[in-house]
Amino acid sequence: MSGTEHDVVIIGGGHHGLTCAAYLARAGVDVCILEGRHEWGGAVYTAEVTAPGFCHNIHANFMEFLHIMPFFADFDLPSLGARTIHPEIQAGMAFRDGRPPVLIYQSDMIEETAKSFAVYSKRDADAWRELKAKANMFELVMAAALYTPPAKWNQSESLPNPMLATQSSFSMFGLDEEMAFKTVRDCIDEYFEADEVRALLYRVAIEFAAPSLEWPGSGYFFLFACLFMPGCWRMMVGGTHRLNGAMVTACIKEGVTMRESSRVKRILLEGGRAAGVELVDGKRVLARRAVVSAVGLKDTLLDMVGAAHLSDYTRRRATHFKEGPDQVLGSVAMALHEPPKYKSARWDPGIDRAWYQVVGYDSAKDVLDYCRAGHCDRVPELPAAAVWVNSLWDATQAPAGKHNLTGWYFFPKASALSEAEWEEVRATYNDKFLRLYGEFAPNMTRENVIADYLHTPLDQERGMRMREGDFGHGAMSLDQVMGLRPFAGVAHHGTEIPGLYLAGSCMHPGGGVTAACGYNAVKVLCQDLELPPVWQNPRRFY
Amino acid sequence: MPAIYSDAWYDDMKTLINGSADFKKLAPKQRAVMTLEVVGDGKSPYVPSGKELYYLVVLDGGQVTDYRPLPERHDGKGLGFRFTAPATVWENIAAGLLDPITCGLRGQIKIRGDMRFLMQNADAVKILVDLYGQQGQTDWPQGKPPYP
Amino acid sequence: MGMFDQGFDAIIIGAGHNGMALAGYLAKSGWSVAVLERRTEEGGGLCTEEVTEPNFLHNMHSNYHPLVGICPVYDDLELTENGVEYGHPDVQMGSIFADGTALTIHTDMQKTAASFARFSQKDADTWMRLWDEVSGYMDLMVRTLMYAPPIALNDITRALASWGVEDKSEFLTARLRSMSVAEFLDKHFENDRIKAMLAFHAAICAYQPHVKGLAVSYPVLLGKIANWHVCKGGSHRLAHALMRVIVKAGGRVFPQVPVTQIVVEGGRAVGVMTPDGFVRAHKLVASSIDVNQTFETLLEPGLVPERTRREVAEVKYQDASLFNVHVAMNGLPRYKAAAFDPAIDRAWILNIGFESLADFEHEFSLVRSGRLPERPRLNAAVNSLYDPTDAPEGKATGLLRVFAPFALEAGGPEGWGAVARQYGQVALDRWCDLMVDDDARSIVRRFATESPHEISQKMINYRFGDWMVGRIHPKNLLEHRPTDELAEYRTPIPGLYLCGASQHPHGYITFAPGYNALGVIAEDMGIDKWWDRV
Repeated sequence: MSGTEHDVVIIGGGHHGLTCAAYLARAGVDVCILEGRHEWGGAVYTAEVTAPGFCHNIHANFMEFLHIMPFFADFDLPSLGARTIHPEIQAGMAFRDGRPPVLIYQSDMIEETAKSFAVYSKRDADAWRELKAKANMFELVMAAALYTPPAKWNQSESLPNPMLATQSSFSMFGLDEEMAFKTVRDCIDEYFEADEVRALLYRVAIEFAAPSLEWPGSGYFFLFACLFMPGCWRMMVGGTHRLNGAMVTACIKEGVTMRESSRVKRILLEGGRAAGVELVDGKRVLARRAVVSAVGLKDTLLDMVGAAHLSDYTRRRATHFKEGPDQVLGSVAMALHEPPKYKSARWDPGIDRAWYQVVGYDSAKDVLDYCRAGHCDRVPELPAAAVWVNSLWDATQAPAGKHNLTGWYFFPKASALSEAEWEEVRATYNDKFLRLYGEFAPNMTRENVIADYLHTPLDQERGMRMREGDFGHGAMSLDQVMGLRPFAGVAHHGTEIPGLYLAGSCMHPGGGVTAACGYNAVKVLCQDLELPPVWQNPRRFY
Repeated sequence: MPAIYSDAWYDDMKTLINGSADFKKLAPKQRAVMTLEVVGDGKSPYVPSGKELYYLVVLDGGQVTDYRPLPERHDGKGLGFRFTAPATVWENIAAGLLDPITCGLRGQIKIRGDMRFLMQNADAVKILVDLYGQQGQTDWPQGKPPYP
Repeated sequence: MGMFDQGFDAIIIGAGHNGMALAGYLAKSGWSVAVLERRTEEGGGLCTEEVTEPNFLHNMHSNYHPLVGICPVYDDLELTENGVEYGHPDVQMGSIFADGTALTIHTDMQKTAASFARFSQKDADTWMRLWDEVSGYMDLMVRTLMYAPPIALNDITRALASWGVEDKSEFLTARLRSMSVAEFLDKHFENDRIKAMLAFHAAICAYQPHVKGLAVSYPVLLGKIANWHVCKGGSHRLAHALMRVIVKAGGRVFPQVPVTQIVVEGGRAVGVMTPDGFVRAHKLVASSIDVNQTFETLLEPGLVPERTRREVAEVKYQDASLFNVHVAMNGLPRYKAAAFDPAIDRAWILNIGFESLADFEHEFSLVRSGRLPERPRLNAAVNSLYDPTDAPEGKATGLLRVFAPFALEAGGPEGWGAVARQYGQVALDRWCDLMVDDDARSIVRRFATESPHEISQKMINYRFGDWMVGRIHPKNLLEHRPTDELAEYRTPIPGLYLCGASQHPHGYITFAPGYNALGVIAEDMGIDKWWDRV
């Protein structure tokens, strides 16, 4: 490898690492980014896991933030190949007995969504009209919250309190501040009465990063995951990995030195300062100014730096950082002859054209039980899922006339089952799901499936280094968000080791394709390294 | 008789080629620019070890129109062929002791350029190398380079 | 701004290594270039996927890179500086025979000769003379026969005769043009197993040993027998490096943008249609995919001259494809045959089952009839021997390949669906039988199969599963590849060029079709050949 010394070395070529690399290079810094896998983009990933020509986004699929994501605009990613589709019907829930589906449309199509809710409850329709209109105005607040690093903190101050921010969000909505202390489930129940609507919103909440439906203090996710995000979901043309392609292109254009298949074994310290990294093959890449880690918290601090080099406080906090039990997914992928045709479509054919299709639940309680199973280290008895068939909008994702279904099961943590047990799940669960599926969509038979695949939490852990299979690289519980993510003192991206910064999903605002962890790290690095503030854009306040 | 690599020797070569009716008949009509590179190999008394001599040869319509030493290695731009070999190889060829085709096959002469052109004009090439090896005269008493 | 608003000087169809290399050179020449790729990932055959389990890197197609350090593209495009790393196995190949003996081919030819000598001293001596001779003209041959537009076979033989090469060489004769590789080996060697080892090397280069006329290329093939390289981190890494070359030079690679039509205006190719609409090519369109797609699918029939249409329809593909078994393993295999030749445990590419020239004849005739050998003869490679990063620590990634029919006698191409898994197990069993007992029982973690039919679906220019994109046969080589009319990388449609594996010399990671198309394009377009300083 040529040039083994750079100004900044970035560990991890997921989308946060790439974000960080592109901006720093634009600021004139000599950046080298090292990716352990053979492919870039981390979970911004698409693969033909079932059969040739069927593209499956087995990790990230829904892009909610592209329109506010700085990286997307500042590097003109659409011109580099990142094109999006914004399906009109964003989400839908189908029913076994063919009851009318519940549908959620794009953010500004409030009336259409309300009409669908009104089938079950006029009150729910009104609630949606009121709340969604407010949530749509929430966008800039959201953007500011996502794309600002939490404030610096030192141990003489009292701990940052995430509740203050969530309470003020509720009051901004003209809602009761106390909502912030409630559970997501209570918030949903308070505003929506129809069981069918609740069921859909429960599922939507857990899908989009809400911690347990039943943890007090998770009320904030009612605003965020149930009201704001549904309607904003976009897909990448050609599969999620195309976003990575554009990000990689941006990095190359900016002059970033990129090395894949370069797994970091340890971070080199020199006089207590992060001075570079050593790869598993023994090669060293030195960093003149900073080492930025965009991989997991424990990987960085406990494995690469080593507990011996950490203060007691940092070692303890890092060790006790929680992964799971939320955000742990099994990804199902199926190559199909034809897309699912739901019984519920006879009431509203929109369900067959809903992007995010929830299937397998008969009631809101089913969703709660499903969620509880994972928390109790059990694979849910009821093999329900949320699925999407991207080929309905983008023919390039499947062979001509065929369809690519991908979806998510919520599963227990990777460590809850042995490897053999996970193999058993892999061998049997899709079949169970299909049997159930057929009762909701009669054409979803074995004959309709060309090939299928199940990616377990253990696969997520091993392949993407997501501990416990937690796609957020750390639970989003109240003690691990905002100024407390991953823990107080590190949330501002710097660590106690001079020259070592964190920029992965273990940072605020957590998992998902936000590019925020990397962007926020750039803001801090620009200050610390006295670089020009290249992230600033006159058309944007964050 | 002129000393090898002397201007006079090259003039002789030029005259020889330009006097060949066969070559004139068979030679391609296109212009071909080539260089010969003679690499000092420690044995030849004519080219010190580590030194290199460069000659430019221009063939045009079956005639040598230019044959002269170059002050430095040709940068390759506009060049058709480059033949590179140790001095002793060139000298042994000139003495008729080595066969230039064999030298090419064994990699003793490194050939760069469009082989298709050479193969399509194989007979002309043959005449040229024969002239170099068998017809050119040197001032060596036994017809051999002055080293074992 | 949209991706395609401004158009590009050149549009390359297909982001395989040939198309990407051409794009890299053109971009570095100051052209605006876009490579449009149908698949989700750039690289074409440079495709590495974790098909068994996470962190086991399986090269789905291209696995052997025999032209590293020979092919000019590596230096011209600074691929090493752009992140490609290669391992060069010191034991390149080996054969394990049923009686527990083994042959090994080393980068150190003295060791190779020593291995041969255990079977035949005479053959070992012949081998060294052959190697010595080939080493002399290898460089010239490669430049002449690969990195230049095709030379007519008649021109070659006439030149060899005119220059009296037959008298100056032990192995080069005009008769090679009518001989098969097997006949060449029979003529010069006496030992069946040595002949089988050398024929195996030809076979994995898609040179079927019994096809008449292929001996003419055999000396060039032989010259590369010690130059097989492992692309560290998987073959796809080469695609990453090419991507960086292109983008750094201002070009673009757009995967998942299938070209649906080549647009011709006033008789000239001026762009392509994609699902996103028309993309203008200001100077040229170069197709790196197969000629059938280029002329039969992407061009309107009225635009293709009668002769072109007729000849393209006649293009033949290989009658033997590959059945691949990708294996996640608990460690490196240890063979019983190591008792005979310890080097066999370090041999990268293994011949298992071909013990004589007759075995090849038998195997390929079976394949031609659409049947599967009951005991498949394998080529096996464990890249982890020379690239430990392709598997988790202490584990290994393996590849088994079997020459196999595209269409099965029972069930045709789709018939593979029913037999693939089981046949994969048969192939694995044969391999494991050769290992020491402990390994044989426990080395395999998981495996995934890939049938010829699946290959053809994934890489649709590998028609009939032909990874060389056109059969290796005298009628389809040199000035005849892919057709007489199209052999020079130009087409009857001005502005449309061919730069893929359909062209001379053939498929494999040679970069030669792309490189040679570049030369032709440079001449037509007046580009300064900065890469080709004689």
